[in-house]
Amino acid sequence: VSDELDEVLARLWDSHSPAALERLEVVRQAVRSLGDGIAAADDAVSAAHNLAGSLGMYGFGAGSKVALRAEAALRAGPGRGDVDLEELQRDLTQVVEQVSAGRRDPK
Amino acid sequence: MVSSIVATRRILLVDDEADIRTVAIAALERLAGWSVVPASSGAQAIELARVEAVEAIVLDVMMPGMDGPTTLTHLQADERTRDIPVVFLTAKVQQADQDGLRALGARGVVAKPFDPLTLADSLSSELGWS
Repeated sequence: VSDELDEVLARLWDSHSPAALERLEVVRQAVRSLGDGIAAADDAVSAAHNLAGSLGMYGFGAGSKVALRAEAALRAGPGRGDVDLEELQRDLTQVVEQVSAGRRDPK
Repeated sequence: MVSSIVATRRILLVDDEADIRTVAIAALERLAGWSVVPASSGAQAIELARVEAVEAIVLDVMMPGMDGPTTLTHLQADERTRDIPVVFLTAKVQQADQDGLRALGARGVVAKPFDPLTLADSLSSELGWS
C-alpha cells in the first residue's frame, strides 16, 4: 500500500512542482527586497507558509525548514538584525536547485 | 513506517491549502483506510462538523479568514461539536507554541510538514486511538 501511496505522491508532486518553484521564486525575490528595506507583500508570506507546510510532504524536508525561516523573516519585516538575509538567500537558492533536480532528502 | 491501523475512522480535515488536503486524504484513505471529509476554511469546518458524523477534526492553525484557534472556539461553543476531539496541524515546532495550542483545548498537535506514511499513526497517537 505504501508503494501505491508513493505513486500517488509522485503524481501529486509532478502537478505541484511548477507551483512550488514559482512560490520559491516569489519568496526569493521578497527576501532580496527585504534586504533593501522593502516589506514583503502578503502573497510572498503566503507562498513561504505554503512551502514550509508542503515541501516536506514530498521529501524535501530541508526545503520546508528554509521556507519556515523565510516565512518568519518576511513576517518580521525589514530591519531585523537577527536574520542573516544573505545566508537565507543562499539557502533558498539551494532549495530551488534541489527541488528543480528532484533531489529529495535521504530517507 | 506502515500503519497497522485497521479500524475505519471518519475525520474532518481542515486546511486552506489544496495540495496539503490532497496529500493528507491520499495518506489517510489509501494507507489507513480512513474516511476523510475535507474542508478548506474554518467556517466550512464548523458547518460540516455540525452535520457530518466525524470522530475527530484535524485543523490547520494558520488559515486566512478564520484561523484554527478561532475555529476551535466556535466548535467548543456549539453543543453539537464541542465533544469532537481536535488535533491541530501546525508548522510551529516550538514546544511552547504546541503547549499553547493544547491549552486552548486541542487534544493534540501534529507538526507540518507531516510524513504521509506516518500521518495516521501520528494522529492516532494524539487522539489515543493507538
